[in-house]
Amino acid sequence: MLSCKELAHQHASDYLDGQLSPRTRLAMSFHLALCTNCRRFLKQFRAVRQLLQSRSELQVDEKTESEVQDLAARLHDSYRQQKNNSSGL
Amino acid sequence: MTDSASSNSDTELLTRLLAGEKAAFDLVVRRYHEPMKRVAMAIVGEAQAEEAVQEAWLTVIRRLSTFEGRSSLRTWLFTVVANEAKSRLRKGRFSGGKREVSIEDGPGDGLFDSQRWKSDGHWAQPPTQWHDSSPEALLSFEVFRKCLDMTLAILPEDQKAVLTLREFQGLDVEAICNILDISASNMRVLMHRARMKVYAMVEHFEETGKC
Repeated sequence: MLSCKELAHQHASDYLDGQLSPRTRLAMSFHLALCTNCRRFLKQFRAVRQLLQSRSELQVDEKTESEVQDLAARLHDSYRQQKNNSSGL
Repeated sequence: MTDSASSNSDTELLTRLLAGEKAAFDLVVRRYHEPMKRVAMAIVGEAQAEEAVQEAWLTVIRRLSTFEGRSSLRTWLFTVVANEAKSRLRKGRFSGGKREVSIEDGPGDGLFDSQRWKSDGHWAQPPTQWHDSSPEALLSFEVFRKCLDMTLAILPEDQKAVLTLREFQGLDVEAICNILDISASNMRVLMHRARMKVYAMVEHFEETGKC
């Protein structure tokens, strides 16, 4: 019989990601049918996953606008130069 | 952005890059520089990550006209930066700078705490009922957004990289494992630990209204 700890620590993510074996999925279904706490945990764990997916990017170490433009301009120049060289211009 | 939506927009972006359109270079840097840096940080550490990404961009420019599109643009970009970071890691090893991608980062959140569990594996401290668990409701609180960002910012780099590639970029497991050079089970553990840390943060916020 699957324990609550095993469910939370070993199988919850795989369950949400559809990565469980049929056998473990069945064991989880039995456990969830009987365990209010784990049903609550899994519902809220699913909400965490949705939360992360709705946060489109880590909000740290952002390049400043001028840094983005500088890097993009350098890459663009390099690419143009390379194209000109290869076409003999 | 969904996987197919980002693939479609990447196809268009690649066409514009190949045509040498300046705005496309701006967009590709804006869209991928930070995620690429996440990947580099997970492999080679923070100190060398920016240099690895800069070098990767130069490689991308050199190879752009011969890119055959066997993978999506973003998978290719992440692969290029990962290879650059791995190359730096190998050089670093000779000078004692070895850094492994590891899942041994320590638990560091309430759900891993032993007092949370009875010896038979049942809950000793069951999960509390959250008042509102919808992402929209939670993210509407500025204090919550800051708290979430702070929690994500202090995750170990390998967890950040997996989160970035899986949840934010929508790459499949096989591509992520190839890029980061980790096994599928390792990737799943990293992803699970990151989610558990965010779960613990949300639970604390729901109970106290504080970070």
